[in-house]
Amino acid sequence: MIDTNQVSAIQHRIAAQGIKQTGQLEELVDHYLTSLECKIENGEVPHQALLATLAEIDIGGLYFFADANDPPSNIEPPITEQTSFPEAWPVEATSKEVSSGFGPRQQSSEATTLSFNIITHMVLAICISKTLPFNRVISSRLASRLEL
Amino acid sequence: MFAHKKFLNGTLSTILLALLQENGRMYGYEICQKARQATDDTIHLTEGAIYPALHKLEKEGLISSSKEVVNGRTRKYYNVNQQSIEEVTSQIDMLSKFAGHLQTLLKPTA
Repeated sequence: MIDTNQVSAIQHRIAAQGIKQTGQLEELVDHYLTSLECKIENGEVPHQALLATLAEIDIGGLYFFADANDPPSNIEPPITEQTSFPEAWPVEATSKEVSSGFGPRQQSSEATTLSFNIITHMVLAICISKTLPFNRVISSRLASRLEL
Repeated sequence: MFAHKKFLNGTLSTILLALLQENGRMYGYEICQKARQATDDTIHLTEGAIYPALHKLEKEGLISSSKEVVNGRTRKYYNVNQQSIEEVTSQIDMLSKFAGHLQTLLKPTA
């Protein structure tokens, strides 16, 4: 399981990646956790609720979220296509890419895709570590992927 | 179901202002759910779209935010600034009238 210290390490990596304000991260985590809780309250079993929440993640939009501190004035945030999960997980993504310090806007489309996939991993890791002791398999997969 | 995205581009900020003006203080997930419910599950606002738009509106001074701890975690609520109500109402009216004109163009009476 990812513990509190590990969550803190993830937050630092998110900061390095582009979401510089802790408040933005808190907001995003609250969004996913609320979505998850609503599903469980509506009778979905936790595992299915988790998978449904993961499937809802707006990976394309997270790029704009990460860059929201200084958005280009002439670009509207995209209303993006739903991105399926876990297919969106890049197997090769590791914390090394995160700590390399690149900014999403300067990257090639491939690197940009990779970067917001990594952000998504991190946010989910936090969600899972805080709320889902029943899903140790996924937590350990994320921890392994993030080299924690 | 998700075919309305391109029509939302350019109108999202005004839609957010309208929802906030109508419902008062709201948080992001609540806004998404409200939009779905109000449109019979037709319009899905995603987190990647609404949060940057909300942050931009806040930067422009049209809305403000406050944080509250709910169920042990921080939740950020947004509301329309009292000083900006006139401008917000004006924006909503403009979009509403524009939508009316579109309706006229799309379904002209014989």
